[in-house]
Amino acid sequence: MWRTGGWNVMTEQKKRGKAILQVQDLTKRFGGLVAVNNLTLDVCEGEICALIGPNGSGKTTVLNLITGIYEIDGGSVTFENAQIQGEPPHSICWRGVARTFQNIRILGGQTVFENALLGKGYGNGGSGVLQTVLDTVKFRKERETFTAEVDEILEFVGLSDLRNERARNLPYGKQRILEIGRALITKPRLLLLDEPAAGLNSKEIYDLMELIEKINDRGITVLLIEHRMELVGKLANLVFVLNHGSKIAEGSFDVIKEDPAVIEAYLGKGGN
Amino acid sequence: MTPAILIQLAVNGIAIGAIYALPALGISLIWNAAGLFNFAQADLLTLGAYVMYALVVSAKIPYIWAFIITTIVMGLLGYLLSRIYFYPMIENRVNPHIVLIGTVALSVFIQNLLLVIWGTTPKSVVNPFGYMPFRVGDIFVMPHVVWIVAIVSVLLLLLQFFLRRTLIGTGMRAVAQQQIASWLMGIRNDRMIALTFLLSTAIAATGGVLISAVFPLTPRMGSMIAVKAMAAVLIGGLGSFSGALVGGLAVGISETIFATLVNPAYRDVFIFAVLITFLIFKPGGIFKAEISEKV
Amino acid sequence: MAKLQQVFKRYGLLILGILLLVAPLVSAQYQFYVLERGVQNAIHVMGLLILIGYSGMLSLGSAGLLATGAYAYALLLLKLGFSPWLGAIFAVVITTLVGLCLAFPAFRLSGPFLAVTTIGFGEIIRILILNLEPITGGAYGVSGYSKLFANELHVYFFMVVALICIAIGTERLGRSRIGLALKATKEDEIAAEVMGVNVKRAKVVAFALSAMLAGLSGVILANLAGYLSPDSFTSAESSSYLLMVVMGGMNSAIGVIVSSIVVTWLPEVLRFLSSSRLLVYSLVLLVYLRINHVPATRERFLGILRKFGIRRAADAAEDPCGERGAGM
Ligand SMILES: Nc1ncnc2c1ncn2[C@@H]1O[C@H](COP(=O)(O)OP(=O)(O)O)[C@@H](O)[C@H]1O
Ligand SMILES: [Mg+2]
Repeated sequence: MWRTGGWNVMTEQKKRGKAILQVQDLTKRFGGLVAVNNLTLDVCEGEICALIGPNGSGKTTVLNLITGIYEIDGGSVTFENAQIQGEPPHSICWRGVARTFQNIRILGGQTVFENALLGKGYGNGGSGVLQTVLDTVKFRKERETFTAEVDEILEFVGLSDLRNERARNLPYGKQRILEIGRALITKPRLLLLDEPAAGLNSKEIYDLMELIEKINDRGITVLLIEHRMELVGKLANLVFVLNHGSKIAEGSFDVIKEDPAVIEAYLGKGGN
Repeated sequence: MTPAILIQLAVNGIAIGAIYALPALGISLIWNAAGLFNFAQADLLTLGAYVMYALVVSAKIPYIWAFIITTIVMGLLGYLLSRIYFYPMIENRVNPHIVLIGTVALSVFIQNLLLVIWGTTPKSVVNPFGYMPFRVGDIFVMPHVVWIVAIVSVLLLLLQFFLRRTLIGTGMRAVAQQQIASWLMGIRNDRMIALTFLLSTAIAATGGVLISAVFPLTPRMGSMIAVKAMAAVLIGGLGSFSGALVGGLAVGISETIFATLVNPAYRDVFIFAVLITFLIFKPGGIFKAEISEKV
Repeated sequence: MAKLQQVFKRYGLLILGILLLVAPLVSAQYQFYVLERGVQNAIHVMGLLILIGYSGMLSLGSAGLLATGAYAYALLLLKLGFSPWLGAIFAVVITTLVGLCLAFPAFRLSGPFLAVTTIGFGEIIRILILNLEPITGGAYGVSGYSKLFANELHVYFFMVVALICIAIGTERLGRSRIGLALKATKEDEIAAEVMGVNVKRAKVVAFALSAMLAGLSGVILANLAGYLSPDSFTSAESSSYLLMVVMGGMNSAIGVIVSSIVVTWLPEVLRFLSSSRLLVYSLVLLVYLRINHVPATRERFLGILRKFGIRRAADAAEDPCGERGAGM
């Protein structure tokens, strides 16, 4: 009934703040398949937005395009008023965009602490090889601040007691949290989460929900891909719905869930 | 330089190219089935050649029988290699780098085993094809060229038939495409991978038999052939059947032309240069689409 | 006991260094030469630890870089009249630059593709040395260049001190965020990139450091041997370095030093091996990989060790640096 556009979105737009991420006409093809088709969406500072859609609708691909993992076939991505498309992933990360993966990608052989420290990256200033090898004063200072920051974040996400455990020995839910923690170490202003609740039990989902709210309270904008509708309903200020790579609806969760196009997209696919 | 000379060189190169194509094909088959790049494929070829030498020259077994025995023995060796060495590693999801190092170690092991058993003196096996070249226009064709090309062609046709038309072949291709799915369908991955090793090693051994007819054997020969086989497989496209063949012929012909017209000392440098250029600028090779990792 | 272990963990490198420094006092002349070669190999293999162990880039062309270092030193002295120290410095710089060239293919290639490229690279260098006879002496080799130290013992002390410093630096690097960036590059390049690791830069660093160490090792080799020929730099030779880095555990500098020296020493202790050195090395490597990386075999093997009362060794091997599975 209330398709997006028109009055509904206009008023929402007025209430929204400054855009932190603007995706314009984003397109990605894999051979003949158009995985993302002319997608336009804005995420504003301080919001929690959700990107939903049936399996294979191109959500993960959107994140991969934003973070520079895939090359963009058309359109643009603007983060904090700078066009970032075409930049390598690490420099997009340095700009303040962090993410997690749908299939956890942590370093199994390394400890929790080391995994988190990885979020400090490499190549973005700080001590180089020579200083590290010579163990200079600057390097030691830097190491101390890094350690403090990492410990602070581990405390924040609740992994302090597992600090020296090897990541692969962690239960699945904790590994997901570790991935979020690692993303936070990069000091993002925009955090992209790809199905963070996948495979979690309801207690863990509840904790995750709290964590995402806490992260948002720190002033970090969140764009969330999620299948669990209770999570989306609870957290998201604004929901974008994707089907076959195109945006079919945009609005608050309550509006979206009544949208016939959305219902059809899910039911048509045999989804929930 | 006349076109006739070029054609003459190309004809000479075809035979050796067809031989390079055999280990190249083995590398591709194993890569498809097990996701494993076998650095030792050319050394398995050399081992086959030495087994042939032992059978024909030392044990005085008739040539054809020796040929058959060599192929069978080497095939079994390949089967065992997979069953007791490589498959357990693959099954346990050992880091691919480790398995890769394993194949490098295998290559060095075979080379040095040959060295310890047969020494450095080059060994020759009789050339069963004769030495009487025949003439086509201005071109002279050695009989071994015809024989090698014919044998390799028949071998490839048989293999193609086996992979496409038989139940086992279909199973092997299924494993190559989707290990988990084929396992769910009741195809035994371990057997299929072992069979792939068997086939690949037998094919390499056939290459060894053919090369023993043309060149004297040395233990380190494998290194030289490995370079050509890897070049063939990577230029043609890793995992591609036709790629291995085309790559092998391209390498054989171009190296013969280069060695004759430019400088034989830099033949391997030339092949490496071509190979590295391909790897950097067209990493998928000729016959393979570039696929991106799904994130 | 536990305390002793801790002491060793903390000061292991220093203890090892002191042991190496006093070793010449107690060893015979020939054993001493083997020890020298072991230390020289360890310097080279330390570079492979960074390249293969930390960063997971399988290089089979390191013999080529070793050759570059050794020949550059000899030729700079012989043909251009450099003084030994200046020649040594330039040789290391040249090798580093040559090795850097390899980082560029590594931007696009990994695993077997990179390995093939490095083999090609090593072979090209060897063939060039073999064929550019007017400059390199071809198959006859080069000799007659002067050395860094007049006294052979001084070369050795220089080497050991250098090795220990390098090992300390390598360990520090391994624990730092740069080391972590390298290890992440090995395990998951995409995750590393997304976490802000400039993977290209990390690869350049890994190649540069390993080439630098290969160059240094080559210079020392030239000083130890007094004569260079292309035969010492075949790609098969690279497999012995591979064995040293793999047996060293791929994660620890001490491991590299111990395994380099032991592997160099092995054929000297077991004389019958000397003609088939590489045969045994490769066999050991094959068996080690198979046992160490297949849990079932590993358990059985440790069980046998325990039965024969080698308990402690077995327990220590149970989880060397906890790197099991992720090893490499
Ligand atoms: N690297 C790739 N190569 C080819 N096709 C891809 C690749 N990545 C994604 N796709 C395809 O793009 C479509 C969208 O995938 P994806 O973004 O993962 O969907 P979602 O995350 O919404 O489930 C799917 O059809 C998928 O098969
Ligand atoms: Mg997805």
